[in-house]
Amino acid sequence: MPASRPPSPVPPGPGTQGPGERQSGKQSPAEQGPEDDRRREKGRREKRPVRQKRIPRRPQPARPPKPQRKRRHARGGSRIACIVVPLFPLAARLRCEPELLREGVAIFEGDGAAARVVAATRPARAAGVKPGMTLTQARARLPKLIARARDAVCERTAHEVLLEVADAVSPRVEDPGSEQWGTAYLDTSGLERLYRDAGGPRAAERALGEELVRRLTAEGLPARIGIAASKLAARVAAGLPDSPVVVEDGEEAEFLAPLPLHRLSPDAEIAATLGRWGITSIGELARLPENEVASRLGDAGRRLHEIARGLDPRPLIARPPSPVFREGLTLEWPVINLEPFLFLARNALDRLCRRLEQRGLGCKRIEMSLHLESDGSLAQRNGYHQRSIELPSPTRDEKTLLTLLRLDLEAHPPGAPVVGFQLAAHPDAPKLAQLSLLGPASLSPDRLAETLARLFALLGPGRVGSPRSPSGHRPERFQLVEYTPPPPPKVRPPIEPGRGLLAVRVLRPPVELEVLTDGGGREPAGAGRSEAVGAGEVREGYEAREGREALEGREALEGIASLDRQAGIFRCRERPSPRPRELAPAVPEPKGVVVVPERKESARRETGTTAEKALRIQGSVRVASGPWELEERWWAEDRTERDYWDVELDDGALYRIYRDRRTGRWFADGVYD
Amino acid sequence: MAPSIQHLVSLHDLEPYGDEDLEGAGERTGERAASGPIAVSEPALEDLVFSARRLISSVPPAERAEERFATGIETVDRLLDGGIERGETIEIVGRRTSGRFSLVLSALAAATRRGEAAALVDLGDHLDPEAAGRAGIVVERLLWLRPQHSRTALGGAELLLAAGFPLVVLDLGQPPVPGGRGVEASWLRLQRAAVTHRGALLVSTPYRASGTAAQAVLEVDGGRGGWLGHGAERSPQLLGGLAGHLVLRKARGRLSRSAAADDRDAEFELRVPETVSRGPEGGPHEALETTIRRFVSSHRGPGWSGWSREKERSWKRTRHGG
Repeated sequence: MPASRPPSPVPPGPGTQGPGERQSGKQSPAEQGPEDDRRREKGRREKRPVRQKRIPRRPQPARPPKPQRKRRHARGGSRIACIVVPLFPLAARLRCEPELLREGVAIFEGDGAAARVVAATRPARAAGVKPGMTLTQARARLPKLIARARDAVCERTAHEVLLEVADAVSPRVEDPGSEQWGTAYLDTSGLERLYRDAGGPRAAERALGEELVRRLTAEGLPARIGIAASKLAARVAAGLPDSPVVVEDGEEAEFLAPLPLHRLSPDAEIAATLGRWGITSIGELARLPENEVASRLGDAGRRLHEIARGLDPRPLIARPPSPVFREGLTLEWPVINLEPFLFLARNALDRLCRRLEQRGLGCKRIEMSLHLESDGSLAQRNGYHQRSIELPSPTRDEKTLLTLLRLDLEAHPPGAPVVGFQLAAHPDAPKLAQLSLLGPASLSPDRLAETLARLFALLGPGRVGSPRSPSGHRPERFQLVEYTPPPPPKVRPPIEPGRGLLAVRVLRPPVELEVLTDGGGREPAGAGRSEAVGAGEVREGYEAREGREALEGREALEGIASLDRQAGIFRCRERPSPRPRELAPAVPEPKGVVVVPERKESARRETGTTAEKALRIQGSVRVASGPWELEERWWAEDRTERDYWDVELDDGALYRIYRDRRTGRWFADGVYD
Repeated sequence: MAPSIQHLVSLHDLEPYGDEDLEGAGERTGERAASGPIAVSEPALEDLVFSARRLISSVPPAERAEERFATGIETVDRLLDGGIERGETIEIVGRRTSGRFSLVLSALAAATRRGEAAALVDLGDHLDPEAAGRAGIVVERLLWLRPQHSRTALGGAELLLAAGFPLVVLDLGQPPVPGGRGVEASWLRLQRAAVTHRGALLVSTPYRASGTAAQAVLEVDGGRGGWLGHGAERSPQLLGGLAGHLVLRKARGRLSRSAAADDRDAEFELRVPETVSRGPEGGPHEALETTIRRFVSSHRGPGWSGWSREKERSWKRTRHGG
């Protein structure tokens, strides 16, 4: 056991209390009971002259605090560390603008003549700039002073960083709330065991504090640490130089005694009264009898006295972990161009990615909120430009995220100068996978996630994913889902022979064609009488020539039609009918195919590739097979009714073309290849 | 018979590194825990992995079938000496209706069915997911990219290779390729990426695009559609498939050594999915095929207007195992 161990037994954790200590804890109220009564009696006797004079007089110093008090405090064994970032508004601002570190910078609050300096950097303080000065006074002392207004976004993110660093060290962290940004409390009970090499619990706590300081400095926040058994003692210890300061368990009163009274930050009125009493240090206040102080200064005085004696019963209230990571900045002047904004956003993303990395998370969705400059009109006042970008896979690659922001802003410009921004990353756990030695190598999940995000940035949304076929019959339908390949088999399966199937290249969007049909002449735009008549003529001739053989063929085709219906493929529309002319108007058979010239122009406009030629489909039809009927959503307005044909042109190319039965227009939607 | 790679690894390599050896490795470096799991130091683990790698590399390349990606079409695989090897760039060139898209899908199907991840960079946005599933592609393992410009297509393919995709297929689509064939330097970069990251790259283009980058160039010399039916005026016909002639135009490295001078071309056949039965018992498609045959015989014409009689007979033989 090292020599620096305190003489009083300190249990290592909250759950391991010694029986003796528990006993003393039970005894203490019983012991205090009659003594408190006596004090109350004494206080009642002394109250009268105070009321008469109306000015609280200094009570006589009492005997030193009782040792039982110390033991009562030592009972819990909990250790609390407090992190304080001195001059927090300044530290938060310098974290976002590290290039200002060596400059004379002052942070001010308020507008115009009411602007007061809140905090200033060392060069500015050396020149005489002090908190509370007006901005004009500060500028008079340091003409080159860089003044920045307090930035709530900056401070909020810096405070979140503070809490995250604390989270990385301790499982229980208290967020004291927006009133005390720049301060955090950690439960460090039991953590000293992680620093066994330091030699003794006190040295271990010091090592823990040093690590906290190191981590916060890496995040751009200079911090001071105090570790004690109560939140208050830790808070006061954190305010002292030579960080980290460790206060032994049960020695809070001794630690506080020599410190000046303002370390407890009392109310101004109480501080003035105490000043009149001539009390300057915490120890002097602690030596006064509690009842006397309470009778003169009221409840606030009693609380202050308790605090001065090192008693702080407030427990540490742990906070739930944050679901969103935010970074942002309020700008000094509006940004109009994309490049300067991306420069700022890059720094913010860098910080964001580092925070995600610290927690082992990736960004699944990033939300960008741009605060726009108001142009005075009501509609534009306090305008915000909100964008949300979904990532195909969680990533924390800063370059990728920046590219995504750039692409999104290029596609959706905010429309007004930007005066502030906030980026919020919604985290998700990165995907993990087990690698195998004998089976096919699976992709590294980290690299895959990063690649997917970069592909997403390169190609834009809706262009990367795993293909799926949604329900329906139209061949051009498709769906992209997130690419999450199943784990590879443990052992490689043997190589199977391929199916050797002929595939169709789907043309998206379909290419409109002008088709000459058997009906003679060009097909009119709408389905008209001429078409039916033409087809009827064809049918008649066909029947006359082929006779019985053709009828057999038709029966066969009808067989195909019914079977195809089962398989969910195209249906053959041609079937024997008693009255073909009226009931089954046949579809004109395509004879020659040319692309409609106007379509080329529209295709150019759609794709934006002016220099490119459109797909050229031209020639006379050598073989045509069809029609194969396709119907989808017959109940809806936007229903699909098509007659498909497989055609071979004179250059040998095989196309799948169709005629839209509702408009009578022809399209090619596939090439056999 | 030569032992398979799994066999070798399990019997000869992992056995000597049994529990005793692992313990020994831990003791040597003084990292062994008092009880519980055995702690193996990093150098010892590296030794193990290195020895496994050495063993795998000692197996002759012919045994390492997993290093190659077969296209699943026998004649094409014969030309490529078993398939596309990791680190290789193969280019398939063919005009419209040459069957190269089908070859590409077949290669993707073969790879994904073996459990490998694969990617298709589809410049023309031509993939039909349902047809891909029918062609045998395990779509869950397929990453589909739909770029709009050849520059982004090449960039995307390079990213995919760098991510460790074992098979990347780059299809430039139909003749007016948006963005053109791209500069040769980017093709060379792509080829270097394939070599560095040991990925197989299959490029399908309407015209020669990769320049000097590809190890082998296969050119489809005119695909012809095969029609079932009479072919006479007014009689209905059915598209049955496609036949093509494949020529190995350029071969470098292992392919130049293995491909005999007179064995640089091959015929291949592809069939329309609706005319092919799916199971040994048959199903709706088997019945459909019967119908087609009845239909064809009733017309007493040459069954395949595009193909010769002989070819049709050989096709029927392979179809019915006769």
